[in-house]
Amino acid sequence: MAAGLAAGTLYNVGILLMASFILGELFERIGLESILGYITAGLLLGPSFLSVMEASAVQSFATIGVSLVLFNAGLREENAADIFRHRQGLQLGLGILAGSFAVIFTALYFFGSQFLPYNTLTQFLFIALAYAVVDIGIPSKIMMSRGMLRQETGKYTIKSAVINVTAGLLALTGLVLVFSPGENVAMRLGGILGFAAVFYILHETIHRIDDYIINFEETEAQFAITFAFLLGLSYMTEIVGLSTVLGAFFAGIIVSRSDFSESKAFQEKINAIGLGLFIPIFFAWFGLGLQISSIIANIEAAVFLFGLSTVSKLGIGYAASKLHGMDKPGTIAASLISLDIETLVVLLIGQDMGLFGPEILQMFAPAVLLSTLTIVLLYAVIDRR
Amino acid sequence: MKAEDLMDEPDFIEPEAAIEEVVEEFKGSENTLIVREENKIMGEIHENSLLKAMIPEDKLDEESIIGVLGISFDQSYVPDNAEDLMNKHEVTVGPEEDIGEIAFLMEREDLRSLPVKEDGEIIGVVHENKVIENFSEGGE
Repeated sequence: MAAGLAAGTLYNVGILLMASFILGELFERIGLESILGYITAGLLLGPSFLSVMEASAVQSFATIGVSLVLFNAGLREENAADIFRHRQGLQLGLGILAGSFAVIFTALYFFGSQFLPYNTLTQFLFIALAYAVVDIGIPSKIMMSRGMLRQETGKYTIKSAVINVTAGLLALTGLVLVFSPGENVAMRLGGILGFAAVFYILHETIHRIDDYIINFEETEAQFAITFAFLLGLSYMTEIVGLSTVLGAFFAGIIVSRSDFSESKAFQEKINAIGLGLFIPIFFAWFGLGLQISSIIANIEAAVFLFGLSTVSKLGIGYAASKLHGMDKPGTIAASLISLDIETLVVLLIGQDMGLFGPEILQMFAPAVLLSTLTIVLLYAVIDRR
Repeated sequence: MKAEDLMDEPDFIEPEAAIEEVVEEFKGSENTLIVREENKIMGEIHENSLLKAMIPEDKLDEESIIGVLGISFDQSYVPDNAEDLMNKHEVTVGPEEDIGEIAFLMEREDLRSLPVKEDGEIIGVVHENKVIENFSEGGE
């Protein structure tokens, strides 16, 4: 029985990985992100089409995958902090985050319950934040394909996107701290304060501890300890009522203070295990959970949210770029409307906290396709002019 | 062979220096610049650091540049100044450090040069090519 169980897992992971990388490569070749290929692989292998496996078959791997996404983000938090010095990028990135958040939240407050199966302020706050953050993958790809990344327009756009996402993650941390579930307020507060104390101590002492770790005879020790630390801290955040995924982000911030995190060998190992294994499985897991019938059932809500996000980001992006004297305000604004992994992470954390059911992911899925198509369309219109 | 026998005069550059200034420095004999701010070592720029900034944009892979969530944006592909090109590290050795230990640190930390520090002052830099010129198995 145990042998059969293990063989089934190997089969599921093997099939999923192979399909993900084949479709990822195909998507890359036609100019789309490989992530969309991973999601499509899951969708095709899932219950809507081939019914090869259920999402639950790879859920554990997907949990590690999304933790590694956030861990990697935390690992480069200092890098993002450097980018905050780009004054115009800061204004655009924060302007879109705050402006779109305000527009979406206001619309949800007045009309949300008409379009969505939700009616609490907490749910609306999480959704507004999720749709106010921008995606960086699609705009980078478009900028690169047009040779614009190294121009002032490209740097301005990408840096503002990095600032938007970083600030969005910080705002998400705040929301999770304020709205984490739990009946006993004192116990919850105690747990969060205890976690904050552990975080602070580790953050301040990691560079001393790593003097010992770096000299371990076992050369894989840095990686193994980091991985154990990432999983441990993620588990701890769950225990104190916060999201597992957020724990991974904090673990990344702590490890980024160590000397060994800068080494090429360490980064190659983290990338190999993340980008080569767990992260593609996470996206494919998301695809496995999608059901065409549920997506159609939630299409009105999906279009409502996509519309709010797109209109507010286009308006703010265009106005801010124009104010900054940029010569391609339309291109910049169009590049910042993509919805992808960043929004998914916020919604998953909301789901992890019990705010949403699985329908939120069915509601979000069309936005990825719709926003990508809208960008392509807008670029075509701008080019014609 | 000790660090003091291998070291050259250090070539410093400020983190805010323009890319043109970095390129100009490399037109001389230097192949590594030490990035320093107020006497504190921030990292190094090897001449091959500029390769990333020369790759045509259509050959770039966006995941290498921005990572999955984008926060990992690697500015060395689109540098504005010396700091964007820098390989961050604070590793230094003393003048009495042995060549074998220097080779060990360079390999482990993936460095092209190591500043030599004495009494809090940078007195020289050991470059990778100098270590290789004095090759001996086991660093004896």
